[in-house]
Amino acid sequence: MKVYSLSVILAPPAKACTILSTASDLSSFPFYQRGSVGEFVTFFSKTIAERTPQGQRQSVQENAYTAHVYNRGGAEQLAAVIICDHEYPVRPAFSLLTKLLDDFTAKIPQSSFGNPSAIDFPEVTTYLQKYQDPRQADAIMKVQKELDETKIVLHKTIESVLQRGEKINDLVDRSQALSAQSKMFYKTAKKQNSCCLIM
Amino acid sequence: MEQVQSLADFLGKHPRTIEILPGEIDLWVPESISAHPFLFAEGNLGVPQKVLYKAYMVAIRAYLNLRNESRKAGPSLQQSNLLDRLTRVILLANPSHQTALNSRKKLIENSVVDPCWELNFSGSLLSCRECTKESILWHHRRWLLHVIHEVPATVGTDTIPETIPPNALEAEFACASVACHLYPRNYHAWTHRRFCAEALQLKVPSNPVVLVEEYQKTLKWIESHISDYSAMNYATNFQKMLPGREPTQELLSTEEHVTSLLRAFPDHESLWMYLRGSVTLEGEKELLASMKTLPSARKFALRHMVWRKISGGEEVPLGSLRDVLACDSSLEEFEQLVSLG
Amino acid sequence: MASTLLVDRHVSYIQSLGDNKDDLVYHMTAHLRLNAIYWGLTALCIMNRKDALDRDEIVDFVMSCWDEEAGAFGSHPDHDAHLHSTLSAVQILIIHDALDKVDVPRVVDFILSLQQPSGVFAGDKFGETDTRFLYCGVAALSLLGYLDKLDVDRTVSYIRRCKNFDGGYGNVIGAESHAAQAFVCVGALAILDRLDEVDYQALGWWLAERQLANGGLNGRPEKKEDVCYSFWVLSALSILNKLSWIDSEKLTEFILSAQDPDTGGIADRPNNMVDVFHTIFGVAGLSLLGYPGLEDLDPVYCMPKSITEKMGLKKGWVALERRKSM
Repeated sequence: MKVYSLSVILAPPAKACTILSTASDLSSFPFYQRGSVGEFVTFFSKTIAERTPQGQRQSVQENAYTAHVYNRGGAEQLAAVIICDHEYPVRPAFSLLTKLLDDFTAKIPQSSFGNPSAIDFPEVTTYLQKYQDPRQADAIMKVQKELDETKIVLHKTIESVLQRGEKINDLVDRSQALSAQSKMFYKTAKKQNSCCLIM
Repeated sequence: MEQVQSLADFLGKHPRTIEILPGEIDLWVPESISAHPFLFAEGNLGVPQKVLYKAYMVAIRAYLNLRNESRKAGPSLQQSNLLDRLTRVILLANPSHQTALNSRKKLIENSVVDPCWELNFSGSLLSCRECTKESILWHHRRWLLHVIHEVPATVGTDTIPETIPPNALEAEFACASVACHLYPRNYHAWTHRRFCAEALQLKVPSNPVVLVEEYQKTLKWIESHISDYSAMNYATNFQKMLPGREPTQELLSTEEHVTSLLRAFPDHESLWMYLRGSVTLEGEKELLASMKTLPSARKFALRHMVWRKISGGEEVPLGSLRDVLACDSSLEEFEQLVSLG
Repeated sequence: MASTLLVDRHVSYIQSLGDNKDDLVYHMTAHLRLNAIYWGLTALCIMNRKDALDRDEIVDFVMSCWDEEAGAFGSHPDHDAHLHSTLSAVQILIIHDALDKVDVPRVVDFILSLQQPSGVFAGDKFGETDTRFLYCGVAALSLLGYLDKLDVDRTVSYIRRCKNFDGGYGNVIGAESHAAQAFVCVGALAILDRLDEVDYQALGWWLAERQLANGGLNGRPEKKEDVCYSFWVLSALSILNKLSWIDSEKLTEFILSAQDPDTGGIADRPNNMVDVFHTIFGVAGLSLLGYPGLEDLDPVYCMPKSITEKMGLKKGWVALERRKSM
């Protein structure tokens, strides 16, 4: 059970997203993969935040990752994304996203969204560490009884959250934020064929 | 052949980790910068896959020729040194090449390769994700430990030798633990760890603390890997080895452990299997009843009850078995099954 | 997606496997060559197309794998002898009625020399032990007609010590239950007429629980489905006479969906690369499920039933009745 990244994202409707605050823990990945995974996690977070309508929550699986996104919208037009492995449970993930957005809006004035690099929000790193164990989220879950899990759509592939005519491979190929190495890792991870050759 | 030699050199430096990188060489190493097509930073070796496969084809042909040439008279020293270098490359590209691994064992028997050096080399190989699944590489380590730490008569016994010193045993645990990280549910790494545990148990009189530490480490691992039944199987078996076999207050039993985990994560099959191996009928009644309102857990609770009955020697009609497997059972059936249990 | 078994495609796929002896794939899999021939040949037999591979060519290849020093077979002419490739060699030679070419007593000595004091078998002289190798030893001795040379009690006692509380078996004492190990342990016990050792109910349930919602079977809890478990799980279930515990229709559909309709061959799961290993175990699974038009497979030896029956080796397993049509 592992949380890889946590991000607060400015998500104005029908416009490109901007990451305002983010933290990641990629220490469990092999040495030469870490840079690529970092790029991919950012790309993945923005791609699905842009494709989640305001007021909605959804979950998307891609390779070994599950991303949960909550686009709260509102006056601040904020969304939050957590990327974790498939073991990390859904409820605590969304509880954490709500808490993250609450704390972020309480502390960071909307006027500073224009200059993300100046935003000082160390809590995102603290949360990333603390909530590696989702049982830590029990306390905040009790406050958020209204969360109805059955209303959260789980997409088994990233394709199903894309807009008509969009293909994930094209998005990856076109992306300027992904290096050639990251694109190669992405392609091979898709093809990986794990066999159980036991005899 | 130049790249084969160059890769053999890097493998001889005992890299901390090895990664096979997808794609062509120019994606990773700009030709103008480096004399060789490999990455080596902070002890981590990166080998572009296409380079590795080309080197493999060169190495395998040279290896087969060399084997034939030296068949009758045995390899000369020069041939032995080449065999050493070729088989390093062959095994990285194809870690299930048993004959190449056998050649290395023969080089050790002939004192061409030092067994301690080889143990380090094998540690490097086992830091490469693609290699960690190969049972023969894990056995190679056990074979080496017998060569290093025992009289030759017991070489060939597939165990960790009793004579292994504590720090060397620690290194074995570490090696297995790295592989469990790299490749989740890695069957042969957990088997190796189990061999380590047996060797550790033999040392208990001198140091029971390490046994408890390994047990606690495993429970902690399970808490962050709740679909890792391999770890749970290891923990259940390990508990039986603990001194006195009576978990104390500070030491959680697997029964307490699994019960608390299932309350938090009720929809993981592995934890339900862990429950089967840890808990008595009395200990689970309340837990099962609490699953009534959780649809995602109910199916596992039902399967659990069928298992209870079956392992208690009771006949369960085929229709009920099939219903439970197909998750077609109603809440009434659930209550009936649980209360009957 | 194919809804029937594409026999012609699979036959030409298996025929094509020996081509391109110079390429990377050939050299990456040479250590499994003899096994691969056994897998391909058995699949052909089950599909009634045994003659699709040239008999003499195969027998010559098998004999070229003889390791004179060890007195057994390696998997390829330049490879060391191993118990696993030796079993494959014996199986191929029996299918092609060519056992007379082999110094059988030497092979028997090789096999017996690998049994350890605990009863388990090592794979070769370097001593890796595993219930897989125990099965290879027992099956090969039985096929060669030398089972009377085996210390049966010692062998059985090792299997007994590998049994877990869930009724399943691991590869060594204390190891996690694994579906492939259920096949090797139950198969060996069946050959030795010691099925009284098996906990039929518990193991049957553990095996039945391997079936996932998509119809495929996995090999351990919370692992992915994989076509090869169609054989490991089904062989054990048919020996226990409990094939009715799983949903055979859904499993049949799953196996068929893993075929590659263009190249032929079966993959571990749909849309993955095919290989001969998953091809035989997919076809073997379908035979045990009563798929129409296939020959009966003996789940104990993973060989055509017609052969084991003729040799007097057929045990009391039960496959599903062969259907007339889909």
